[in-house]
Amino acid sequence: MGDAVSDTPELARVAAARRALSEHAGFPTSYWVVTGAALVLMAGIPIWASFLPGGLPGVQWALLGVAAAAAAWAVLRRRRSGVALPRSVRAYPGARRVRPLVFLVTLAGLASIHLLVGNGQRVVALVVLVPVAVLIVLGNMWVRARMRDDIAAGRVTP
Amino acid sequence: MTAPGGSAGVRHPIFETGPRLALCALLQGADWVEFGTARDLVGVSDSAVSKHSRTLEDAGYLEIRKGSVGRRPRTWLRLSGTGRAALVSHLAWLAGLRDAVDAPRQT
Repeated sequence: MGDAVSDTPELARVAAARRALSEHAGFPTSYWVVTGAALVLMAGIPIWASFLPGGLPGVQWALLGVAAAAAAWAVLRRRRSGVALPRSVRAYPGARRVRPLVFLVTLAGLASIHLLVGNGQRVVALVVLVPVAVLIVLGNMWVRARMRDDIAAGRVTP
Repeated sequence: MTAPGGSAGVRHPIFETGPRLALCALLQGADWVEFGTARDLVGVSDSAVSKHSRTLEDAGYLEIRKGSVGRRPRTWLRLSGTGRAALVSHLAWLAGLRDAVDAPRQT
């Protein structure tokens, strides 16, 4: 159903309810800023490790900690917001289509940093790091925007 | 009752009272929505959500789960499979009706 849904009061109320719900699919700006900073730190692990003679001991525990904190934040947000949206991207037809592309870009970005560090191009890897993190964040913002559109259009199938 | 113009939708009169249609449309896109949040997003009173959600639950269109977050009691609402199918059908009926009304105007 497109813009014509506002033609009748019933369908206009349906569209308004869906739009209101779709706002819950978005994240605050602070979330994206923190995600971007965390991505720079995590994607740059091969670079930081190459500067230290002993590598980065215990880095896997730090990553595990970040993952646990992110999961706890997601659960708390879900409880406090009063809206539990479908977790799987498969429930959102629009987002489902763009997600693989974002995943591929993420994979290519992280692999390129690894390869550059492996070939001794640490400075180039440092230059590439921030644009890669920004690209990953933008990709994820794109997926969330498509999820929002799917909810507003009533295309979600939990 | 199917919509004029040959649409596949079927009218479900249960959605035609109060905020039931908007409430179900809200729940359609979510796994669960908390009672107070549903009330605020639809823009109706506590008693309206309570009354209409009970009717929809009795019809098998809505699932209601009671729980708590911390020490606060919370009620969560969810559209059942039957409710989802009925809503989609009713919306298709409404859209078909709108198209049927609009068609003579456009010619």
